[in-house]
This record gives sequence, structure tokens and C-alpha cells, in this order.
Amino acid sequence: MNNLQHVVLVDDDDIFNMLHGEVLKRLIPGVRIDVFKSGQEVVAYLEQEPEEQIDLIFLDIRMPLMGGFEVLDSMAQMNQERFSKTKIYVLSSTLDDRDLKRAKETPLVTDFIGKPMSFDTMRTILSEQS
Amino acid sequence: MSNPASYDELLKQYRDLQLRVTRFSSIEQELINTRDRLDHELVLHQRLHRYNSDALNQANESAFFQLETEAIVDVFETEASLIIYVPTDSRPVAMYREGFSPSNTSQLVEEIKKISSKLSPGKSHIVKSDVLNLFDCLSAFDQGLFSYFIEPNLHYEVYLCGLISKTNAPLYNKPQERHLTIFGVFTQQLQAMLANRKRSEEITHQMEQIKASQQELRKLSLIATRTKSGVIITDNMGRIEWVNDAFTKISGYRLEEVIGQKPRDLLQGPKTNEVTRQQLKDALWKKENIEVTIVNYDREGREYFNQLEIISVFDEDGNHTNFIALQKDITEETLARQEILRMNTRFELIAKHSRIGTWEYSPQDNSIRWNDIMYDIYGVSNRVEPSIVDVWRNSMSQEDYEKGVKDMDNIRNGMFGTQESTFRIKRASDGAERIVETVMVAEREESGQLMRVVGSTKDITEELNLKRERDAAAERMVTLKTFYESILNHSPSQKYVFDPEGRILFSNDPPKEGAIWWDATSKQSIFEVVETDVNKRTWNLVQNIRKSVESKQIIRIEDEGTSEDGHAIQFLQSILPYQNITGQLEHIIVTGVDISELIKVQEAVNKKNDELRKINAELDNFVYSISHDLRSPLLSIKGIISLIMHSSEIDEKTQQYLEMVDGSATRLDGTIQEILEYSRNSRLDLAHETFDVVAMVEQSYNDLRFSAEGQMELLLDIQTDPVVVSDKSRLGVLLKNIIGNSVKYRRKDIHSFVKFSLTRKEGKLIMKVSDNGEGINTQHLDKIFTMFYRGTTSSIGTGLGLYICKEIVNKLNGDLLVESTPGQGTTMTITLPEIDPHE
Repeated sequence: MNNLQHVVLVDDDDIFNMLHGEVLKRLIPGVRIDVFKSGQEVVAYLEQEPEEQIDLIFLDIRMPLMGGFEVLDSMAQMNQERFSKTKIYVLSSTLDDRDLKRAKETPLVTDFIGKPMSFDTMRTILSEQS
Repeated sequence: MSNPASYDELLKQYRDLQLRVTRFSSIEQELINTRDRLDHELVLHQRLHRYNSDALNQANESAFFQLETEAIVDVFETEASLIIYVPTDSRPVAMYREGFSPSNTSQLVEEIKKISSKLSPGKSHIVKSDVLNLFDCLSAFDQGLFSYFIEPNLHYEVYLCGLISKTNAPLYNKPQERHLTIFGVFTQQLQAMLANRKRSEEITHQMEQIKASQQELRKLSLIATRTKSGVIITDNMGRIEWVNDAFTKISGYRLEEVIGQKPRDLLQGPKTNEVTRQQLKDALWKKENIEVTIVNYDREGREYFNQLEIISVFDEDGNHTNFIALQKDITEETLARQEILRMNTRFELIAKHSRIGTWEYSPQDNSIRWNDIMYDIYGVSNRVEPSIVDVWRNSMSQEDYEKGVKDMDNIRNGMFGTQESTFRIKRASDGAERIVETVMVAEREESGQLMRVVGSTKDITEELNLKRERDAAAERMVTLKTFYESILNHSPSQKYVFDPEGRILFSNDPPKEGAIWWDATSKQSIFEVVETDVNKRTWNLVQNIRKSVESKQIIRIEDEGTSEDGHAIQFLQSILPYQNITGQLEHIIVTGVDISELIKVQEAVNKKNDELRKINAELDNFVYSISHDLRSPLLSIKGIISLIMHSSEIDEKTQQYLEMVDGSATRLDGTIQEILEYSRNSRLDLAHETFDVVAMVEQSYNDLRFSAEGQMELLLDIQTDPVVVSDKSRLGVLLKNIIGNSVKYRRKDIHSFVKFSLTRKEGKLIMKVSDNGEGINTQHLDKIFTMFYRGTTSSIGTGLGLYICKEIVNKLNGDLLVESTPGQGTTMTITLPEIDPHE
């Protein structure tokens, strides 16, 4: 659980970013957490830093302008090798079955997690990580 | 003589000479005597010869014998003679005599036989008076010549004798030795002549017999050849010696084919009656005559009824020599007789079944005879008197009685040969008025003399009623037909009715330009219509009618016609190949409905539907967005509370408040979710998927389990394939709500469980969710599916959950049943129709 170095949170909601950041910090002290408030930002970051290795990405679906799925579409255009060790979780407060279905059908996505991410959920994810 | 001797010498010589002369003269006398005797014998022989020659020429046997008796008297110079002819078989004794009339002939025969028995046969004997005196009939005789001979092969004996009586004995030459010799010759000659005569007689007789039997045979074979009956003659072993042409004609076998064979091997076959066969066999074995009818087979194997008569033939000596079989092919007669019998039986059966009474009137004694059915018709028991005439008269209505009598008179006096009448009668048994139909026929002799009148009578009351009903029904049918035709004629739809041959029977569509029509006046069948005959629209319909008839399926097509004011009309043509119960085509019914308006409306509806669908999709998105936006802050609140509660520096009271805030937020989230589910269930179309329902149950339970404090267990009872076809998201919501209730209302004081069972029965999918939770009070039970109804104040629900469940089950076309005992648990039963995944 401790070999996680780099986590990316993408959500337009500051509170969730804060919450998820706190959960992560408590469970993985000293981990690097990068927070992006929109789809464009994270896509821009990934394009600028092609070498950067990311262990976990938590991606919100419903964001203004560029949602989570659009981000995933952009990522699918990139070199897939860099994501070979990256686990991507889709986070949302959606109740729309179609979102769940789409998340499960997207190859890059590891799983769908309903908001808010609890300590228990995070612990499960981390245990699966090792 | 040199020296004349002395006188003495001379005397001596003389005396010697004298002695010698004397001796010579006595020799001479003897010679003369001998010559005389020889002359006499010669005369006897000559006479004998003459008699015998005469006798030989005698055609008649008695004349022959008579001549011979005369010969004995004449030749042997006896006073009387006898010849007795004694056959050794049963033929009568015959006696011939000359110069002798015995008083008792049979005694005489016995006496002669007795005397002869002492003598040797074939030789002649002289019997003197010392012997003759011993016999009554012969005692008057002095002596006689006797002889006899026996012919064992010719079966007779003949006794001969010539006799000289005592009184006349001095007048007759007594029989001498020389007579004996000649009598012996005479006897031998007679024996020879008689034997010859007998043999030639026998030969003549045989010749005559042969001649007669040849004639007989010729006659017989002529008869046998000419007769129409088949004739078989077999030897005593039953082997065929001869057959006639008629046999060949009947059986197909020719003489040369069958000679030496046994008839039964040729003629008998599988249908030959075993009993008859045995009878024949027995009769032949016993050589008895027999007459049978038997099934035989001809050369080609055709069976025929053979009337067979077998005669055993014996010869004179009683030896069995032949069988003669006379055959007659009586197939036609037999079949005809059988047919008549069958017809008769059938007629009787028909008469009995169809309740036809039969009767007979005979003018000789003025009597009438009825069969049982007649009595039934008139309703009287046939055991009681009065007479038939009385019954008949009493039953008849007055005017019909007179008619009946007149009919009978007309028949009797020969005015009509047959007469058919209908009468009203009053049936004796119940007084009911019945109508009977009578047919009577007069049977007359050649001379025209009436023999009898026979008749049949039938009670036709029911028949008439039935006919009346049928007529009424037919009339109603006509009315109805007119009625329906007028309806059809005024129907806005076009109707064409064809018979199975494709000829039009009815149409309410008058011929007009552009309409469906062909030359119906020529009665042309639609199956004969060719493309160039008709307009395009008709041709299309014709082709579809043919397809419909061929496939026996209803076919619907849409086409475009023209209205009376000339604008285009859309038609829906429905072609029904109307079959009766047996599946036979009876009519082809074509109905054309103007669906122009319908199409317009449908198009409008489709447009509206599209719009609605778009709005719905927008609404869906809207609802999701709203729910998402509503939940987001709520969930962030829950997140923060969780974060705070994970920090150590909060007191107990704050902890309590935070839990309350979290609870409220959870309830609000639940409400949002339920409203969404309700909205989705009512709006969205069913979407069937194939999935594992047990996995779904496990998933739902796992999602819910975290909110459960304490121990809870999921039990599964799966009796069938867990893969089902249903609306996955709806069933997910349904199971989540129901299992959620079991979790929510579990009893915390016991080991609680929720049990899911799955079975299939009669095309239904049955899912049961049962628990050992709090249960539901009876008073709430019928209201729990009501919107916003909450059964308990402690409820953390919204009152929407079970309402949504009910709505979902309704949408899925199923049933939702609740059984509950407070404090013991609840069982929810979901019954859903099984869905074919291919639909």
C-alpha cells in the first residue's frame, strides 16, 4: 500500500477534492496528490508530462465543458503504455445506469465508485492495488 | 390118287370132307352174321351221323336236345329216351324226353342222378331191371342204356338214357355190347356239340354285351361331352382318366394336363371349406355318392362355387372301378343368392332402422298382416286384438279413411299398379296426431288375378316437422342474407367474396375506373386472370389472393385507389381464405378498408410520438442532472461528516449530532433515488436482457449489507437456472427495495436472515424474498403498496419504496404478493412471466 507515489484527483467540486484528498492523505501518508478542477486541465497536464507515472486517477464524470468520459476518450488517444500501471476509478454521484454501464465498458476504467468515497472503499482499493 | 384107297378110306375121306363142308358152312354163316352185324352197325352209325348233323344245325338248344332224344330212340331202337341238362349254378334243370311221360319229373331226375352216381362218367352202361326195379319212376322198365358227363368249366352236367319197358321188351332188340360202344360215341359227340354250342352261346352273349355296352358308352360319352356340367371320370384311386370340354371351360384345365392327377390337388384352395373337404374325403373313402357345394379354383386361381356330385361306379361283380364327378359352376347363382340374402338383410335392417312398417293384404282370405313396426306406428301392442282392419279404421281421420279405402279399391280393381298416399292418424298409445306415408303395390299373376297387395308405411311426422323447421330456417337465412348483404352494401369497406374456384359470388364495389375490377360478368375466375387483362392494382391483388389461397394464410396489403370524386385513397386489403372445419377452402373473402384517414392520423401520432420520445429523453437527462446536482452537495455533506467522525477530537454530543445529520442526508438521498426510480419506471419502455438474477441478488445484498449493524445472512434456495430474461434495471430496483426492506426491518435481537428463492412453474418465474424480521401489522398489510404510506413511525423510509415495487411489477406484467406475521417475518413473492429471449 505504501508503494503508491502519485495520485490524481479530477473534480470540479472543491469539497470532494478536499474530502478525497484527506482520505488519501490519512491512508497513504506522504503520497503526491495532484488535483485538477476540470477535464481540460488534466488532459493538458497529461499531454505536457508524457513521462509522468501516475498510480491512481479518480475522475469525476459530470464536470462542466469536459466531463470524465471525454477525458477518458482523450486518454485513449495517448500512448497506452504509460497507463499500463495506472488504475483509473470513475467517481460520481450519478444515479444514471447509462453512466455506470459506460464506465464499465471503457477499457481504461478499473471501476466505478459512488460518491463520497469512504475510508472503507479506499482501503479496499488500496488492498487491491498491492 | 394112285392107288384107290379102300372104301373105308374113301368113306373116311368123305366124312372128313363132309365135316369140313359143315365146318365151312358154319364159318360161312358166321361170316354172314358178322357181315349183317357190321351192316347194322354201319346203319346205326350212319343214322347217328345224320342226327348229329341235323342237331348241329339246330339254333335252338331245346330243339337240339329234342332231336338228340329222338336219335337215342331211333338209333339205339329203345322204347323211350331221356336227356337231363343239369346246370351246376343256379340255372334251372331242363329235361327232354321221347316216348316217356314221367309223373314226377324232379324225382325222376334225382333217380337218374342216383343211378348214374354209381357209374363212371363219359362211358355208357347197360342197367338191368334188377337196378331199375329199385326206383319208382323206372321200375316199369326192363333195361336201359345209361351215360352221363360233367363239364366243370361250363357249369353243367348232362344225363342220357334209353329205356325199354318190361311190357314191350320182347318187341325190342335188347341192347347189346355193340350198342354200348355206339352209345358211348353218341354221348361223347353230344358232349362235344353241347360244349361248342355253350361256348359259342357265351361268346355271342359277350359280343352282344360288348356291343350293348359300347352303345351305352357312346351314348354316355355323348351326354358327357354335350352336357354343360363338367364331368371328371377317375379310376378307383381317384386319378383322372377323362374330363369333358365343359370341365375345361369351367376350370381352364385340359384333359392332357390333368390326366393321372387327383381333382382335389387341382381344384381346392385356401377358401375351400374344411368341413366340406372332409365330407368329400370320407365319401370317397367309403365309395359313397355325395353332393356338395364347394369353393374351387380354376387354372388362373379364380375361385368359383362348384356344385359337385360324385358317383361311385361298380362293375357287375361289385368291384369299385371309377368315380364320376359332375361339376357345375354356380358362382353366379351363389353370389346372386348371397347378394339377395345380403340385400334382404340390409333391407330388413334399413326398414327396422328407418322405422318402415311393412304390410301385406291377401284377397283370398281378406286378411292383413303387419310387421312389428306397423304396430309401433299405430301405437298398439301386437299381442292384443282387435283386428288390424279395426285398428286401422279407428286410427284414421274421417276424410283420410275414405281416401284410404278408395286407394285400396283402386289397387284391388287394377286401376293403379302402385299408390302413394299420406294419411293423418291418431296414434292409439298416446292419442297423438301423426302423419304416415304409405306406398302400396299390387302383385298379380300372369292372368291378372290379384295375388296380394304389399305396402310400406312410414311415420313421417318428425320428418315433416324437421322439413318445416328447415324451410323456416332457410327462409330466415334468406332474410338474414338480405339483411347482411344490405349491411355489406352500405358498408364503407369494399367486399369481394369468391368461391374456391375463384369466381366472384358477391361484391359491394361497383365497377368503376381505377377500382379493383375485372370482367365479372363473364364469370372469369381470378385464377385465370392474366396481367394484361386488368389494371395494376387488381393484378397486385390477384397475385396476393393466389398466394393467400396457396399458403392458407390471411394476407394484408395496402394499396391506393381512387375515390368517387377522384382523389387518391389508401386501402388496406385483407384476404381471408375462409376454410371450413375440415380445412377445405370455402370462400375467399377480400375486404378493402379506406385507411386514408387512419394513415393521416397514424402519421400525426407517429410525429407526436417522436416528439414525445425526444421530450422524454430530455426529461430523462434533466432528471438525472437534477438528481445528480441534488445529490452532489448531499453527498459532500456525508463525506465531510464521515471525515469529521474519523477525526479523534470530537465529543460524544457532536458525534450524536453528526450521526443525525448523516441520517437525514441519507434519507434525503434515498428520497431522491426513489423519486428517480419512480419517474424512470413510469416513463421508460421495457428493455429485456439476459442475466444472472442470483448474482444480482448477491450484489444488491452486498451493497446494502454495509448499512446493517450486527449479524445478517443471505440464504439462497435456487431450484432452477439462475439466468433469466427480464428488464434488468427494473428488476434490480425491485430486488434492491425488497431486500433493502428485509435489511432495514430486521430484528436486531436475533440472528437475522434474508432468504431468496427462485423457481419456475408453468411459464412463470417465481422469486421469494423472505426474512425473519419485524413483520408487518395486519392493519397495514393492504396499504403498504400505497404511495407515501408508511407503516411505522420508526420508518426511515419515504413511503415510496413498495409503491415503486408494485408499479415495477405491474410494468413487468407480474404479481407481487406479501405475507407477513408481525414479529416473525415477511415473505414477498414476485411472480413474473417468463420471456422468450428471442422475442
